[in-house]
Amino acid sequence: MTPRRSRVGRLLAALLIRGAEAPFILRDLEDAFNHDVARGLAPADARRRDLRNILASAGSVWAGSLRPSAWRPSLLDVRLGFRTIVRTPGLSFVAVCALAIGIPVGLAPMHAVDALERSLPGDPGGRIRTLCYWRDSVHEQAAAGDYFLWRTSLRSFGALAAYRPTTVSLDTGGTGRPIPGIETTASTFDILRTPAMLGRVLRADDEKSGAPGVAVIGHDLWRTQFGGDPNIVGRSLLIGGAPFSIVGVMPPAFRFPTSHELWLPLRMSDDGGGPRSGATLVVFGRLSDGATPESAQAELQTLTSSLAAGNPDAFKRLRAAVLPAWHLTFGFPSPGGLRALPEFSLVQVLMLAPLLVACVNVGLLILARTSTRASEFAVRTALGASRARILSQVFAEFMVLALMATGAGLLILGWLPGRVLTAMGITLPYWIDTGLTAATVVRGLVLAAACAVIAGVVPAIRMTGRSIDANIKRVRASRSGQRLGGLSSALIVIDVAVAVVAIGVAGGLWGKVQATKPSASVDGVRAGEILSVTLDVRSAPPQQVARTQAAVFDKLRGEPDVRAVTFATALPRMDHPVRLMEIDQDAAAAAAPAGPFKVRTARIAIDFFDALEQPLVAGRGFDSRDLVEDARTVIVNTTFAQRAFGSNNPIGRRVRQAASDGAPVGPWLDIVGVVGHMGVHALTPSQDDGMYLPLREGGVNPVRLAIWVRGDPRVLASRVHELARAADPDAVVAMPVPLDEMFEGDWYLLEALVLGVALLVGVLLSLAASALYAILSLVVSQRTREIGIRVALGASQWRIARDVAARAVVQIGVGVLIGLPFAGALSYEFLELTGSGRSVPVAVAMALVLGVSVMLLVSFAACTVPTLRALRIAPVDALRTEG
Amino acid sequence: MGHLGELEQLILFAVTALGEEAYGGAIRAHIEERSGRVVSSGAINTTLGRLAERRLVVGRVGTPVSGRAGRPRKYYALTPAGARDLQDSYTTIRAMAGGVLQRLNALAEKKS
Repeated sequence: MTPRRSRVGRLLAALLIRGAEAPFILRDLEDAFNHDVARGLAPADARRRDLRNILASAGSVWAGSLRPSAWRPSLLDVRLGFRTIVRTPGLSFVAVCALAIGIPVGLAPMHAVDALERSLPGDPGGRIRTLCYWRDSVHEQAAAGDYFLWRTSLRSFGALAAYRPTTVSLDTGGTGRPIPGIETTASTFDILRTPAMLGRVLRADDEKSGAPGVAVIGHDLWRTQFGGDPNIVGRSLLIGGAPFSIVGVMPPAFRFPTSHELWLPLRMSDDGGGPRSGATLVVFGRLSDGATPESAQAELQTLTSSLAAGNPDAFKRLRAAVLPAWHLTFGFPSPGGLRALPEFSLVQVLMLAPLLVACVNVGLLILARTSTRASEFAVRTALGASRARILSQVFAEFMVLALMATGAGLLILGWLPGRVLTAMGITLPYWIDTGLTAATVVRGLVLAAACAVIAGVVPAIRMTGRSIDANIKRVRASRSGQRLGGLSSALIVIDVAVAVVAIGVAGGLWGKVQATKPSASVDGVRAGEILSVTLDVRSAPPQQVARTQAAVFDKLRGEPDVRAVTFATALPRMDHPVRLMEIDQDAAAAAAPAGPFKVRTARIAIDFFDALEQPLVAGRGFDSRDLVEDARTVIVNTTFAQRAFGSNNPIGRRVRQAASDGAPVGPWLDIVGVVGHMGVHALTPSQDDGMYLPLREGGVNPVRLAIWVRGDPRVLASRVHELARAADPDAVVAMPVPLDEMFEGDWYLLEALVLGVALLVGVLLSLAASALYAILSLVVSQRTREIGIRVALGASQWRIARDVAARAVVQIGVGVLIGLPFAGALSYEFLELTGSGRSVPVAVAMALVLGVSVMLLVSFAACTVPTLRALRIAPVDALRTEG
Repeated sequence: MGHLGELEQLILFAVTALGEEAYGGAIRAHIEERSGRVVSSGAINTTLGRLAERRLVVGRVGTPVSGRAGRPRKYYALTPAGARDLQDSYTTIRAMAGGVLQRLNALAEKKS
């Protein structure tokens, strides 16, 4: 009996030896075994040798497919790529458009962070660093006392500087023009190593009390306000009614720290009274030679630890940090920067999602096209083309497409943000450049390659994954009505699911904007009639501040056009700082939820609600009793009352500030009243929990004033300056803006964002719809033969059409069912839409109904057209033409 | 002229010798019989693939044979370029060997 090859050997050979050459190699292995047996080798030896041959052949096959040359796309492939684009212009156009939108959106977060997190001009090594504190996860600025201590103690810094932002009113022709500026130490200019273009920069002498008032102005201010006068140095400038002598003009590229045009000397009367005391300042410095950011951080932390040992209360949970200079202008998002924020990862993933959707959809379209190329692949394989060769050609073909899209996407990314920001009147910090960087281009190329793999190679792998025989059989089978299989169903389901999520989120975002847009009908605040100003009484002891504030308020109340004047640390719709608050659990009812709650807080004048005509919902407003030292009373808004106490009465209950670890901070506070929504956040003015504490005159400096005016509040702006100067020459009024205009930029941005998201979702929906149409119509048209046979056998046309449609409806239904929970979760959890009223769920539902309707309509059309065509063909013809 | 390795030369000689019947198994058997060298199928297939890429041989798929799961053989033939390269290699060896064979034999027979 003739010996046979071992089962293990044959199984191994079938498993390991793949690709176009597999049949020949398997045949050779059989021949080799037979030859060994024929020349008298013992069966066991022949089988052992067969096994060695199998392993060696498998190794050579895999090594060959991994050889770079096997994958290297040639110029011919690139040419074929262009030819394919010309041959299928519609598909190519759709694919390029989809990716050209998806790629810049996907690149945008990293590009933005690259643009923001960069060194200041003239500091390529990032030697300029800012010094600040963090308490838990909240940034705390340094105080004047910290600055003086650091300046004398830290050896890691060659020089330190401090500044505080200010918006001053420049008196020009009888009107006040707000100019953003800073009061800064002279060392700022040494650290930044920027000399004046004309005259000089500030000097240490200018900081001394009693020194003449001097100012350094920016290039733009010099040009627009003084006509570019070359003899500007020595001219006088009226700031808030006081004369300042211009000593220098800075070069055009200098607008430190962001977009500032005026630099005044920072005058501090003493050393700030020790660490953590004195005025709030921004501190930064240049590392000394030999020092590193790490060594500076270590030195600062050592100093902070020694201070904390002497004063544990002031330094409780406080951590000093030495951070890159760009933190100066971005509100210190986290010590690790924007990239370290968990929100950034989420945004990055969300921004890449459209590209993934685009890729999947383009992949679906390519799959539809590729399936028509199955015969081409089968023939090429039969003629000796390896699988790697075909895949590398498909990769090159699609790479041409992806590179075109990437080029367009990069152009959009490099050009659009700057134009949009300019059109919206948003001025970026002077050192930010939104142009393309090498890193962004490289990321774009990587995304292009990923797109080419996802949308081009994966479908091709599916089409070339069999042997020649299988491919040829498959081509025959597909001609005779076989379906594309599970992959297309899976892609359709994923496609629909992702589209549902995108539509849901877009609907939610739109609903959120509409539901929370500040308006008098939402929060009852007539913001268009209220002038918001900041009153700053400089270099004055607390008693003087209180007197000046009272005098200014009295003068304003005496104006004929002023209906009411009140003050607070933050006005309605402004961002109120967040505190963690816990409620008195002992007194709480069993149903009350546990804290701590994130509550936005403001300190307000006792007449605040009366002045703004905000009636109390329950309890009482503040009065003079609440201003005594141990009064400890608060008023909460209805959102917080509802969340913390449910249907129970919150009046008389107690709240207390808590740390993030739950440890109590500060005393218990009694709730004496409940007020409606007045807006405690710029973007969600009527949603957040809010709490108000009483504030006496002189309690904070600077303080925000709300002046309710009859008529246009802008008219009163210059009068406010005059009254403040008349009350106290040291009083400065800054940022006089009608309350409703303060947030126009934010809302413009948000609405632009929503519009952008809507456009993106629209494009994705169109793409998903076209991909759905392509795949479904292909699948149905491949069933022409089957339909012909069923018609010949007497099946009713209605039943056939129903069967065809049922499959599409099931696929879309599964996609919708998978997508809905994610859409709901994202809408309600990520966007924190709970509590925003009925309009948001309605918007989500409307968007979903619209999106799913579009999908169903497209599917209906995709099934109907080829089905009707198949039904119209005579059964015999169908069999003849497709058989 | 492209450089040919030893196994490449052996395979090209075998392809030439086998004519119409030059498929992987036959090439391997021919090399074993004529040179006594045992070569694995993997090495033969890899080398044939490389030679085909360099266009020194050309493959054609034979008719599938019943009873062997319908698997065809792949037959190879020398291209003119392959013939020229093999000719050049052989000429080089002969030129180098000319006049030294006797001495080589004597050296080889010498006891070390």
